[in-house]
Amino acid sequence: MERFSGIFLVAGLAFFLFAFVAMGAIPYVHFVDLPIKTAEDLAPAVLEDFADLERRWPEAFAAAFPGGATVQSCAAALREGRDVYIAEGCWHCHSQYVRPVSNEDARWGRISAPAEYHNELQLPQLFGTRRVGPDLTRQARVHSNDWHAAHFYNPRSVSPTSVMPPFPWLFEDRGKGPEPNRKGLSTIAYVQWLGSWIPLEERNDFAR
Amino acid sequence: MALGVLRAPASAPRPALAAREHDPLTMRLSDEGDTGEVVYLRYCSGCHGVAGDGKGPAAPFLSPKPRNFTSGVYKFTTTPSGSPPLEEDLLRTVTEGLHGTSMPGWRFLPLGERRSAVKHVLAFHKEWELRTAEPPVPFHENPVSLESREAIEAAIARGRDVYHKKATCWSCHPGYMPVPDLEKLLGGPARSDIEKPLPKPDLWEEVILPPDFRTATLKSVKGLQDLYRAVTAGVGGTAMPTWKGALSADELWSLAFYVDSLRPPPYSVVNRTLVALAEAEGK
Amino acid sequence: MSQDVPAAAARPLVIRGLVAAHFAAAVASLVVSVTGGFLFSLLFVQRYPFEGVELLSPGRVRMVHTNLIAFGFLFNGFLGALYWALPRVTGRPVLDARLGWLIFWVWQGVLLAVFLGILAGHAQAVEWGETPVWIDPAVVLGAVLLMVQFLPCVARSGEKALYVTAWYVTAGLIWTGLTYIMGNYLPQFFVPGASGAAITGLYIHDLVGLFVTPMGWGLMYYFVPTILKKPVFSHGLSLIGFWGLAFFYPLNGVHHFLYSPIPMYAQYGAVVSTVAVEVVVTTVIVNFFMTLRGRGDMLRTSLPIRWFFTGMVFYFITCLQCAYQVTLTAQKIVHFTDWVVGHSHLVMFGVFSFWVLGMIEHLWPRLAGREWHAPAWNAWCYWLSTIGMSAMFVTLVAAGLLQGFLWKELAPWEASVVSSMPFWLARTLSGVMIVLGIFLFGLNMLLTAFAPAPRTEARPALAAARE
Repeated sequence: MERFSGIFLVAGLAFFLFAFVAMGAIPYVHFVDLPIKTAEDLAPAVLEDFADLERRWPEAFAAAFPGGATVQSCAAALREGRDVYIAEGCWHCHSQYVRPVSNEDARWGRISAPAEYHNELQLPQLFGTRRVGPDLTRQARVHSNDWHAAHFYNPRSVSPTSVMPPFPWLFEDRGKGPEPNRKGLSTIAYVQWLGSWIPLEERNDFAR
Repeated sequence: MALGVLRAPASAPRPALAAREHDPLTMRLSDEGDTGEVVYLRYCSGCHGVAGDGKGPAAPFLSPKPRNFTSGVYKFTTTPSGSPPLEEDLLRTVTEGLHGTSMPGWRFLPLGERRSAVKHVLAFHKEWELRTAEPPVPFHENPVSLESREAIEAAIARGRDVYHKKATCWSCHPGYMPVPDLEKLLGGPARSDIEKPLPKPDLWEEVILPPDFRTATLKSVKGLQDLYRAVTAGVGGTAMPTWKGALSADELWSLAFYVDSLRPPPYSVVNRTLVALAEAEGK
Repeated sequence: MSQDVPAAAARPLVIRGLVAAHFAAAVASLVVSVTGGFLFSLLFVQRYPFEGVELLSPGRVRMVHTNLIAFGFLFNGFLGALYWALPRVTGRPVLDARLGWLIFWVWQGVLLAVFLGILAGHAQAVEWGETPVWIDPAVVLGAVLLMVQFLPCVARSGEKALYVTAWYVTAGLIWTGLTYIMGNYLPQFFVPGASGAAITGLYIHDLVGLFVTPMGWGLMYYFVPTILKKPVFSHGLSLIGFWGLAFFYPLNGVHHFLYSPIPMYAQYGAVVSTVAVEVVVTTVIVNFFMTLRGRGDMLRTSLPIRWFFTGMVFYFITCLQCAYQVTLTAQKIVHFTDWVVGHSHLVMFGVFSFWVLGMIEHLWPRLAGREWHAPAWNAWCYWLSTIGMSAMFVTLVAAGLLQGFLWKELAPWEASVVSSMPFWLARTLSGVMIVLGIFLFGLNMLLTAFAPAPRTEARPALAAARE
């Protein structure tokens, strides 16, 4: 037990491998048959909100997505929005799952299920481990697109007590005040996507 | 609750409050936590402005614009359009939010805080103490059974007639039948661009579109009662008048059924009920 | 240089330059990290100074803070101490000095890339491994080179029974590489969603349990008996501690995602093995306090011993706390709150950083060949850190309870933010104490190393350390 080979093989390799199989590989086996959805599969559910961005900021939208609001451009926006969400560390202060305890379903809606997360945008997963701000899994349509724009530009403008930092680099001024740029539009689309897969009539009242 | 605060003239400058708005460190949950102005500053002022003029820092981004409370006119009330609202009316809007707009629902705010915020909002009108709300429009129980397909379909058909003939709702909203059919029903001419709503200015000098029920989210409508209320009381500050007295309770309810049947299924109680009844019959 | 070069090797047992370089890099990282942490804490009282500056966005600064503590301070600190301790334990030098310098520069390059990459918005969404995807191969290379560098030193020691330190270091070096590869590649490219979260959970906790903890304890098993000049209390307890950790710690990870969509048996397993690991590490703490018995006066006279044993008291507190907070009952309230933030600060700063600071405190004069420029500054650093850390822990745990109950009571979200603010202000103030202490310590190191005063060879303690 105190020899190099024993420690190397048993503690170093065997125990690690055992834990990896028990805690990582076996849980994974549940999902191997489940296809990993692509952003294109996910985009239709949020396409209406994406098109609404085009109506609100036509010039900014045309500059960012010259082809207009299509499934393809929406999928691209979701990917890019996810990247912003990662780069800015949003996931350190917002979680993305609703637990079956602590009245979380009353606050946010349906409790999270594994299949909801088996998609490209959860690669890497974004469950999160801290909530300074609220959970975002059921964000779709809780707020309007323009609320999100105002909020990303300066969170304290809509919520004076907020401790979320502002993200002015997601905006640019085309002469009519700040309007979301490609990153900003993508980020809003991404947030509106979270929970968009839940049928409207099954969401909490306030999300309809 | 500090009533003195609520009596303070709303239009007067409030430098002390404005400073505090930006320093939540001093806005702790204390005795002052549930006074209307603290609640208002904490949750409402970002969009509606510290002075209640609808010009908060977030307002430039928002469309429709946040309501200017100093006008004292509110859209979604149970009092007839034009009358000051009841506190309960604003409480409902605060609690449920307005769909399709940036106004979220504040149902997690304790009821007392919501009430005191509403009182604070009402006080933004210069003469709020002198104004009294008219009594709310009468509420009649829904006469149509939701258990019977025939009854629902009959109500929709009656409502369609009221919509197009008696109330001529199509003069602002779209009409939902071909122009020749409509003119035959009316026995006279209808507006030619009837498939589109007609833009109208509102009290706050914005041009707004009356909703096309097939696509628009209705801001303050969750069920049939809300449609009944909106038709009966009207929508304050807009061209939508009160239909109290002009239409009978039965006509008002059938109008609600008809309008709801035009809406997309996720929002429409009537359409979802019809589908459910059809499925039940099929089994 | 070292007087007693082993006859077999024509090179020094210990490469002092590498020890010093790693320690210097460690404390430089620590200074940046605590500054970042302090800045980030200002966000929570709405006083972040660089609001609206993209490159200094608080979300990015937070990731710099956590990554530099792990990969900058602790990694460098442990490596420096390993270069000192491991050859002495095994009687063999490390593989190669040039390899050592290669690893050193690769590693500092990685740190610079991580620092710049994260600030430029290239973070990877793996908690505590936000190292940009494009730098991951270099980290893996570094981990592999470390095994090449240190393992021969253990394998060739020629002794039948290795000393405890060598157990921990051997296992720890293998685990570190495996953990990093698992956590940074599988969830990023192959395993999405819930199963990916299970693996990320393993990664987060393995970095604590399979890199930081074994290195920390392994080095404690070297430094504490050396400084106390007496053997470790119980060999049996050492064995239980090591093998218990080796078996139970890798199973812990999923406890970061309790009540999540990860299959429940994995969650139950994680909870049970976490409680088991806390029991096991308690034996290690007992072992060390029994070793201290009879030499309690050293807590007063020796600052390194004070750092070490304060860290162990904190360690005991975190273990107790962890065994409680990991239960599904406690998780309902404390998960997602500042309770956990308090816990992780106590572990990473109050325990392992304290130990590394103690090691540097002990070795720096020996490396520089001079007494500390101002020993009092280090005592200040100790007290500021200890009081600051304690205050931060109590504050955050209390704030966490408040947040958890407000959320459960369905209070408006803003209420939990506003009510936390006084606690966050206290957290910032306690952070200021820590930052001040660290600055003093760093400055002291600098002045000690570059002081014009002549090197002194006279001090008996320094001479003894050359042994």
